[in-house]
Amino acid sequence: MIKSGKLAMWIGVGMLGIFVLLAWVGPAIAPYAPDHEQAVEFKKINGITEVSTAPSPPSKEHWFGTDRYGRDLLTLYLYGLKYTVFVPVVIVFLQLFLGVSLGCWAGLSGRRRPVSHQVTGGLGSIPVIIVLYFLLYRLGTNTPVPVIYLILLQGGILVVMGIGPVASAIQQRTEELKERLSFKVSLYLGASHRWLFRKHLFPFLKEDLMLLFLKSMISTLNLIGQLSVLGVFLGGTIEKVSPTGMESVSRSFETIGLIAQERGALIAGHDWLILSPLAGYLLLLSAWYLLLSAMEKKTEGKYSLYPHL
Amino acid sequence: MLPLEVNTEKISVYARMWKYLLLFFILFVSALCLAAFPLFFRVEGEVISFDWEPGMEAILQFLTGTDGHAPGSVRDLTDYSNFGEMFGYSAFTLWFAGTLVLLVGVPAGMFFSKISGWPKSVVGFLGIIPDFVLAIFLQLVVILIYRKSGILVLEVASVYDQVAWVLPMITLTLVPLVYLVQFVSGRTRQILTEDFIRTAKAKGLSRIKIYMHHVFRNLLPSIRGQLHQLNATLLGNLLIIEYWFNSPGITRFLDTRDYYYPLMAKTLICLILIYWIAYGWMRLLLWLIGKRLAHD
Repeated sequence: MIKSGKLAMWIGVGMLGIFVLLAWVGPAIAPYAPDHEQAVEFKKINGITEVSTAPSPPSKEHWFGTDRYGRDLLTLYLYGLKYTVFVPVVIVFLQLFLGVSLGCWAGLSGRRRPVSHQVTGGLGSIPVIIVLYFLLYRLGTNTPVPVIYLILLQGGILVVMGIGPVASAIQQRTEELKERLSFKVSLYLGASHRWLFRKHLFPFLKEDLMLLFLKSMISTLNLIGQLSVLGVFLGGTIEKVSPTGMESVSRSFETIGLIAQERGALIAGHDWLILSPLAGYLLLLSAWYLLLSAMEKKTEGKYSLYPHL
Repeated sequence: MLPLEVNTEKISVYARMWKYLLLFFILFVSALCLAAFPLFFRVEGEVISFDWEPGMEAILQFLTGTDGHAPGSVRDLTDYSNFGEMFGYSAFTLWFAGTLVLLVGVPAGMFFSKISGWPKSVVGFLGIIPDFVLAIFLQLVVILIYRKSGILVLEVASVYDQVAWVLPMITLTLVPLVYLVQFVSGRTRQILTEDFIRTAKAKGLSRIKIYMHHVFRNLLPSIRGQLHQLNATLLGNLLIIEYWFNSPGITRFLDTRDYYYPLMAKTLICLILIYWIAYGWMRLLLWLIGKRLAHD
């Protein structure tokens, strides 16, 4: 009998596999081009010509419906999926790689924090979203730089902002592991930092890193979502004047951007503008969550003590 | 030689004061620099270049006063005359949400430590959903009820004098609440494995007495340590929620589409003030609860 934890893990892996495939081949299988705009469509139903104007609800021709400019939503979703699937993975991988390197080096060299706990604790009070909003807004709005360069710039800033907490947590864990007898014996026998990391730190950090990777993936996706709500889209923002005022739309059609740019869609009765990309995003989030849940169950079962009450 | 007696208590109070002064000074300078950040970059064609002069000039003009305005003042703009009311709206929202999170989250977390299986997974999933997705679901439920019955049970967004209170408050509170419930639940499970719990159980103390006198007392320092993270999450979410629901809070002035440096700087400084008022209140609340329930 398959245990529920393992089943959840394999379902998560399967779902992620499908998303990776869709992200890879998306543009090739998309039904329309992303710049194909059809604001007005004429359909003959039972001999009567009916007119539908953009945005139009899901239909046989447009499975996810069309947006305000008459563009097929499924096409935009498939073109933008690669940014939602691959970019956060690269960001988190770099954060962990640099964070672990810095944290282990600091832990092994015995570096102390230069500033007191009150100051660093208080500085942790600055919400990252506010800092990122001011850092990224001007860089990505109506900037005629290729999408990939903007993603490198935005991704680089997200990586740098995320290294600190990882390095801090790894430094703390390294300092705990340094107290182990096997570590001290190895150190006194003249082992290099590289040997100590390979043989005495990494084997214990492995599971922590896997959990940290999955949690960071989810929080990075959420951060990208929050930035999109504020008009800072991954891959750039197009800001223009519309009949209802200034509007911001995503340049790269990244999934969370497609959701966040349609703030008033539910109130206006254009539910599909939000719900279609939202369904895709929640499925991706569920896949990561299933993996995280399986990993947490595995770690909990292995190391936890039994409560007395 | 006479022994030199040093009042170490007084020294540590002064040291703490200086550290807090340093912290507030760093926060004040960070707010001024962050608000000026959009001015530090110039985009010409495909080239993004860094130029510190316009930003530094804006900061110095704000601090020293310019064009006859007093230092730190903001010229009158549309909506700015309501700045005080909008400050009050944001401050009240953060304070109320923080109080709700603490008063509901701590007992719920202690209760939740005994739960396992699918309810735990459901709560875990709720904790990873971003706040704006929760906002979408709540708005959708209210709108579907309206479409079926013609009754608008709650405002889905703020328009003119119709202010939405309930949906923004639920959305703002839910994510930090789930985080606190999970944290308290994990910490409670950890405390319940300690030897002093086994001793208390062996001595015949009732379950309630053990939870109040031993578990809760040991929980308090951990919760105090999480307050900054909790409050920072609340403040970050406040920015998102006030934008999504079009709420009349001061975060409206952070819209960089209508960029005006003095207003940006003043708004960021006010947000820092709102943060520390809410944080101070949550510390006081924990202290009062500890005094009442977890004392010798």
